[in-house]
Amino acid sequence: MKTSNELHRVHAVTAALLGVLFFFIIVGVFGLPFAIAGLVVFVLGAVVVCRVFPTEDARL
Amino acid sequence: MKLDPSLLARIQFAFTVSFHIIFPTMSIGLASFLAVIEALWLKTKNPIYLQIYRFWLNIFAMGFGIGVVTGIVLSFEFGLGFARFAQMAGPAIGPLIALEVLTAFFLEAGFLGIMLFGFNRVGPKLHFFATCMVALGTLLSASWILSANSWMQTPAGVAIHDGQLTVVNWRHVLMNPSWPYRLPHMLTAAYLTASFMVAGIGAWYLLRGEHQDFARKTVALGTAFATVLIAGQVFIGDIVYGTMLKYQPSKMQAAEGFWEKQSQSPAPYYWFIVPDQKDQRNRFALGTPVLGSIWLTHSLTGRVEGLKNTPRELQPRMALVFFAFRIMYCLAMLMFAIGVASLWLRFRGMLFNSRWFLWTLVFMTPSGIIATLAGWYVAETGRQPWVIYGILRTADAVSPVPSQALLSTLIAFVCVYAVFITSFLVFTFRIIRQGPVEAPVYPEASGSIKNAFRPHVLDSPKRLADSQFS
Amino acid sequence: MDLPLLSASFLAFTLTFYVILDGFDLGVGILLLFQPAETARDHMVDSITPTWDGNETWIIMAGVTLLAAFPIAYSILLPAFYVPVILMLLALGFRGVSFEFRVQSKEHRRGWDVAFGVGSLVAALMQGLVVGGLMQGVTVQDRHFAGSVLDIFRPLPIISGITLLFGYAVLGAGWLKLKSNMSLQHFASASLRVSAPAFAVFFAIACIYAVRIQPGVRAQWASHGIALACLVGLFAIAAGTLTALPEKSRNALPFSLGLLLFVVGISGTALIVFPEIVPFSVSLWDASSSSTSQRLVMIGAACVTPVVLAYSAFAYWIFRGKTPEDGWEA
Repeated sequence: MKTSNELHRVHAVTAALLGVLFFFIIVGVFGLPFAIAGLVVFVLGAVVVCRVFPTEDARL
Repeated sequence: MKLDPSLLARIQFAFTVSFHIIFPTMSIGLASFLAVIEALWLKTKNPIYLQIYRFWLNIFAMGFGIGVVTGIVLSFEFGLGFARFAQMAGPAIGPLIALEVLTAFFLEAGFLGIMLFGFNRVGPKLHFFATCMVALGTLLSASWILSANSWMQTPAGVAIHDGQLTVVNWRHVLMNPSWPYRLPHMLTAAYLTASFMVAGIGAWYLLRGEHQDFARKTVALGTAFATVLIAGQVFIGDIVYGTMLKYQPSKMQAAEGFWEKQSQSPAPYYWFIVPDQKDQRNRFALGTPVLGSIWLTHSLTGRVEGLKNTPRELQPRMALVFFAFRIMYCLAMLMFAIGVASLWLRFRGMLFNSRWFLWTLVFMTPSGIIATLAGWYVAETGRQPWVIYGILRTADAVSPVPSQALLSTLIAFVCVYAVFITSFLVFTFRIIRQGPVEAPVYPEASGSIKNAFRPHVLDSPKRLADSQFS
Repeated sequence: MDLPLLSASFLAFTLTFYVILDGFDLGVGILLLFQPAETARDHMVDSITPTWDGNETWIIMAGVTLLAAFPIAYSILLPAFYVPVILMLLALGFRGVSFEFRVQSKEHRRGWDVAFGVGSLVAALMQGLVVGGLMQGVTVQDRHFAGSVLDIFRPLPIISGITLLFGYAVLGAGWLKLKSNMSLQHFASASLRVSAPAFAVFFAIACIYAVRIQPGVRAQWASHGIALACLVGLFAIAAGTLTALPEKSRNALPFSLGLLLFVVGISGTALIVFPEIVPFSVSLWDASSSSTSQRLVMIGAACVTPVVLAYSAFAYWIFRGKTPEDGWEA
């Protein structure tokens, strides 16, 4: 069974790959319609993440 | 030593305009940021926003001042260094810049005084209006000047008889082919610059454990804006690329580092080259295979057009265009990665507690400025040897001023501007070291115009009581 | 619709506004060099801080109007006045940044005040140099500048530079009388007593010298003799009144008289220059850009200038009255 740490690493790598994919899409590798769609999805997703996940208290 | 006046004039203009662009880029971004912050303060009455406002207002004021005085230089430098360009292009870009002064410069200048010094003379709503007018002024200013510069890149709407330009269609001059895309590109660059500046300074405070509330707010805001903006910027950037590929193929040919008329298939993406303009080849090239075809031709086997497609005497210098473009593009990728990382860290509740991320933000504080400068170098060096693309060459545009004069004034500019930027940095670091001060909460004035009739809100009891604590 | 004439009128309008508005700003800056007390200097700078940026913008308007409406004149005059214009730009640069930098630094405030003052002084001198250079005439060949960049360093431009220096000092002192509190009134009056007669004397020398060395100027005096003589008379009366003003005079009077001096001076200069734009070689119509360009500038100017004047006046009104003793943040 994967440990919590490993799971988090998988999540992180997935997020990174998704980021790369979005970059390629927005830069227009798959054409303009996909670029526009990709941009809209990314921005909406970013807005959702910023609103839904409250920022924590600093503990440094 | 015989120095070419044309080269000196170019170096002088390049120096003064590079120095100048740093400051309006910051000003456009920070002005809008300040407007957002002041709106948030008016809406939520949370004093943290007033604190953020006053902190960044200080830095904004200094940068704005330097931007104004270095900008005045440019409006005269067209004539000082490039009189023949001024004579030819005056009918086309002169009115555009005149309208810039009328609609934007006066607007910023007129309301800046109230924004900086009018806290005690007007109510909060009128003050907010002033902030918005300054932000609007910076935006309008960018619009006009981008139109003028874009006209130089993709001229339209003019007729030429024996060396004189006449404007035949103003809509075509103003809304020339590249303007609609270069304008949002520049504006986004300015907003990105401000976002990374704000986030970087906030991150610095978090790392030092100081001014926690201020730092958390600014890191959160800065990274949020940056994430959304970089996505848009990358999108617009690709469209600008396509536009310039169509109207100034030589620029994009130089930008990608390929010499042969048709590259191999599939084409690599070059990260580093040592170009030899004389021999029309790269002595050394480092690239990622296939990526060139993917990014540049949007296919797996496409061939990229090289600089040899342009006649030699019309070629820009590949080294300048290539490296400027790579710097800008690499920074863009880095910014995008940071945006994605910030979303991830928010999701995991680790945005303020990941030291590696906060250090990255600190180092990225000036990234917007560097990327913007690099982008402008692509634009301007890539347009060479033309000053008005396809119409007037830079070498034919120079003023009848001797080299000695150009050289001495170039040295003077370098010395004086060195003083400006050193002072700016010294004072900015001092402001950062001192940190945001507890902002006085001044009275709940109604903010109506009526309040402007009573500048002596100073004497109200609540104001006097508050001043005991500031 | 004589577009070149209209454009030239707008150009003259922007130049006049610049000279008057930045005139007192630069004047206050020049006077700063003669004020030993730091709090007094703070007070002097405070009186011009909220509105200096708008004032300075008028010179950009003038330069850009020249570029847009009379590009041939722009391309002749700027290389001709290369040295003074660049020095002016650097000086204005120092003056501009000093506003912000002087408040950031307690230890070096004196240094920044000197930068402020010297910047204002050099800018004034250079502007005067350019006016004198215009009167002296510029070597033009085939619609391009054909002289030397050092032509400007001759007696007439230098005298004009000194003239404008004192002129701006008069405006600055008048502004201080209007805006400052009791402690600076004495300083302002003393400055007026020195600069007003100096302004008049140097102005007279410059006029006489211009007539002597430039046949173009002589010709204009010949054709507009009466008008110019009246202006000279008006100038002399105003200058005399300023010099002889008692210390306790009304606050707005010195500034108004200073304004009058400048309006008279500018009118006289305009009478001499017109209808040339590069005296005495290129006329307005020869130097003009195409009518489409001038038309756009005039339409923009007609629509937007009233708005600009309105909110600029509003900004001045917000900061009306005496400048607060402890600055604007108190």
